[in-house]
Amino acid sequence: MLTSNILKGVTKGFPLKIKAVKVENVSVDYNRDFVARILQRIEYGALQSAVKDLGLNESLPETMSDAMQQDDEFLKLMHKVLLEYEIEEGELICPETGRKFPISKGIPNMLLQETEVS
Amino acid sequence: MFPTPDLSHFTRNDYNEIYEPDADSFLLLDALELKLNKILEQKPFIILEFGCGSGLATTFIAKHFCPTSCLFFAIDMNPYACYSTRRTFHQNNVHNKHCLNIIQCNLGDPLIDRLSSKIDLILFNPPYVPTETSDVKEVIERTYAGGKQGIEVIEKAIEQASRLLSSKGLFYMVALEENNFDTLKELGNQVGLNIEIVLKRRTCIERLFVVEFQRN
Repeated sequence: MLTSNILKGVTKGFPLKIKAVKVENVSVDYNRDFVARILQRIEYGALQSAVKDLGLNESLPETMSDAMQQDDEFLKLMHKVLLEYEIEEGELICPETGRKFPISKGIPNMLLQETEVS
Repeated sequence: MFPTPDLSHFTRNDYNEIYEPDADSFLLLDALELKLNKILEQKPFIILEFGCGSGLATTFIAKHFCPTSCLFFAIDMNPYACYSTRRTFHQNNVHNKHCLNIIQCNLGDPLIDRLSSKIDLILFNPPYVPTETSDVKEVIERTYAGGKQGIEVIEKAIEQASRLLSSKGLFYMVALEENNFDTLKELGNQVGLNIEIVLKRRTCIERLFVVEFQRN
């Protein structure tokens, strides 16, 4: 999930839409400082879209305030959403061009054809 | 001397698909170790490797240069390299401590917008051997074909690094004598990066060096 929050598509394509075929739940040790640091680099709106795309049964607060970034309960939720859901098979879709980027064995293929490079 | 990460999970067949670590790979590790204190001082949090191949350098950093959990991005055009990097990361037991994101792509293309000025450490052992053009179709050939004067890929990597590096971020890259230090210096200057040579080594077939780029 974290990777999808960083990648962008062909031109201005961000956030990429996610179509997941197979999502895996992995268990990662909770590290408060690590999650807090990552949150400073996250586009919260894009993360909300991703959670919706995947149809995850997780309710994220409407907005993320500074105070929430210190709150253990919220940090644990972010830990789970960002690090414990792995999209094994599926695709990322550029919202501008509709270009699809396949995800295979957990790794997104963002390679473009020569003709697509602006 | 830090031990080299365990690569015993690879077989001959794997090395038909990915670049087998060689003198250039080990020179990069030695150069990083030489700069250990400088790198530790930066407290790197986000680390990126262009052309991660076997995952040797990324795993080496994860194991020895990151006392706290870090965020790694490893990218390669070759899907086997992507899977291999994940295997090496797991084989060396650094996957529980750190978060590794692997992306199959051409240098940092899809990352540049979101990670602009955010990366603390970039590693690159580029395809530096001069060839007619860098547009090669064979996967394994891409691991060394660097284009005219071996510089095409390097030029693009330096330009991307100048956008990705954080204010004190460091970029380490392997180069070949034919790549010409003055050319690299000029390329760095054009995008606001200073360059210095960290380590040089002569192997039986080529003269290699590792350079460090940093914002000026």
